[in-house]
Amino acid sequence: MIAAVFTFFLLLGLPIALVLAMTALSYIFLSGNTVLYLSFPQQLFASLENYGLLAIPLFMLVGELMNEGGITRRLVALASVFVGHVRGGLAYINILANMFLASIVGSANAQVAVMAQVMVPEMERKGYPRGFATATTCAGALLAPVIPPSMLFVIFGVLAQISIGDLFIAGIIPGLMMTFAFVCVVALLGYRYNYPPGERLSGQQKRHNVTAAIPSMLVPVAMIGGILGGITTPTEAAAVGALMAVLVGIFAHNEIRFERIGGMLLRVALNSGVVLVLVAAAGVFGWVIVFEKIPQQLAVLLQQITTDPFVFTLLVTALLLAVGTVIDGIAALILLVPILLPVATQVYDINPYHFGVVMCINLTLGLLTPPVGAALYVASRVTGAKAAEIMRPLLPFLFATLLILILLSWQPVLVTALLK
Amino acid sequence: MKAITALSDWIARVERALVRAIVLALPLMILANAAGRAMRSPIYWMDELAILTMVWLAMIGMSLTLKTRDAVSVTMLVDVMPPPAMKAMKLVSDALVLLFGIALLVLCIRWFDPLTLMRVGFDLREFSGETFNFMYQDTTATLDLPKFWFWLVVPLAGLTTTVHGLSNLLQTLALPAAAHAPSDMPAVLAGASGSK
Repeated sequence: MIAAVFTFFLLLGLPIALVLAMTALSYIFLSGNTVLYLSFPQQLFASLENYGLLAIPLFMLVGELMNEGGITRRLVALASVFVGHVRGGLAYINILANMFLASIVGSANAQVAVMAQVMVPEMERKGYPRGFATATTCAGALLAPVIPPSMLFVIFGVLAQISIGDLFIAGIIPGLMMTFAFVCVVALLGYRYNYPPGERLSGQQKRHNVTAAIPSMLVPVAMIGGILGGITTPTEAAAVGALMAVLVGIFAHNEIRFERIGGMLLRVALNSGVVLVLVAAAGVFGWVIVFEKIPQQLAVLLQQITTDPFVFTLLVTALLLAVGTVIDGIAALILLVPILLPVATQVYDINPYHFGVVMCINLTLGLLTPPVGAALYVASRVTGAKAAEIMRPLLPFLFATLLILILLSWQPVLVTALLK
Repeated sequence: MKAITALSDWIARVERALVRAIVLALPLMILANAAGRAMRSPIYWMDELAILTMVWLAMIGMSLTLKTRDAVSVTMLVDVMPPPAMKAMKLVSDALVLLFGIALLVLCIRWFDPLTLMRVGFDLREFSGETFNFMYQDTTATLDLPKFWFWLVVPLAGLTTTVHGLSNLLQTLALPAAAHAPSDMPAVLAGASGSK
């Protein structure tokens, strides 16, 4: 019954946060557990009283400030110093610049929106097909939620009650593996379709690009260094990053315009509001999951199929890919972590960090797959390429990510190696 | 209808100003605390204040994004429906948002129980003795303030969501069924801070 109510609300197009909250209210009504009515508003509030969640508005602020302050552009120029001249040069630059950016921006959609504006016109001018240029940008943005800092990791850490800083560390090797895989894909496609080589920059130009990017590099260095070195919490690192981005944007680049600040703050507020409300609603929806013993039922069902953690992780991957095509990353994470995590850790004895990284990469893939691939539509809207046109050249990248997912599922040590 | 829309628009303006101020204040609070810690005089209540302010951001943000229809939703089915069915689904969905606002408000009134509080002449001891509701005695961990001042944002969000929900419902009702209003990607996500 309650599953039918949930599905009805969801397909009706009700905001997902309200789907969760209204399902919880319907559950209280149907089960007659009316004492929960009194705790409902308080639980909404209490689900958000978490220090780690503060990182969400702050990370979003850093991303916005970087664009306003011209930091993004300089990081792209820096990437061109390393790989600009080889065949398919701009495609490598795209991937590498995405990796730099991923170390500051925590969200794939945000990254696609920015990079598609910067990279795609540039690649088209040099003779790349628009579809491929956009696909490379989308693939590069897959790195955003894997390389720290990552919004998905923050939310997983909060839901799973594990250290967000350690989760960031766990994401490093998978993030580098994905970068390497994407570079391989670009190389293969580059030779197959004979992509144009980039220009060789003069020594002077190289020096100029590197010098110009030094202040910009302070932002990711301060943030990642602070988190990985254990000096700052991820929340503080985000605040420090925002401060650095403001200072660099104002003093080093002289590009931040004060009349644009109001709009920027509002975008950050609305976007973080959307995410935080989902977390709040997950708090009351958690009652349904707990009282209906959904993880226990699922565990019984799964144990009839397999007792092997690897097979279980593969099943979860298949499930998440399917869910990811219909529901967006953070919403899907909030919905599924309370159900899947207890089964993974208690029944299959899977390390929660390992499980978190696998889940997050999985759900990011969903951002690029129709019918509800938000990042795909953002890219399509920014560049004017049709979704189908992007999808074809994107497939090799998605396939490479899937291979890495299977590899990570098989060898948990790839995720946990750097953890103490 | 005009009055409701005007009220909803006015509330949204206040809400926008509030959330902007909060987004500006949050990093300052965190930085102040980090700086204080570095100078060995941590401002110990600052973290708690930042967290509670963030909850305000979330609750006001909820009301605002329900008005602007920017919240994440699954529109797969709605988008492929013929216009009359699409309008019907939008109406039900808008009605549910309104219902949520009202439900939240009603549950908060039961929780805060202002009538009993007034009847006992704001005597908190007598209030909790009579109702076994100790919400007014609850204090924050480090701020030394009664918690209910912060909890007040929940009934507030219930009230504003009700107004926004009613305004949206009336607007959808007035819309001709043939008008195709695509539930496209929310506009805010186009900025650099897209939520996923």
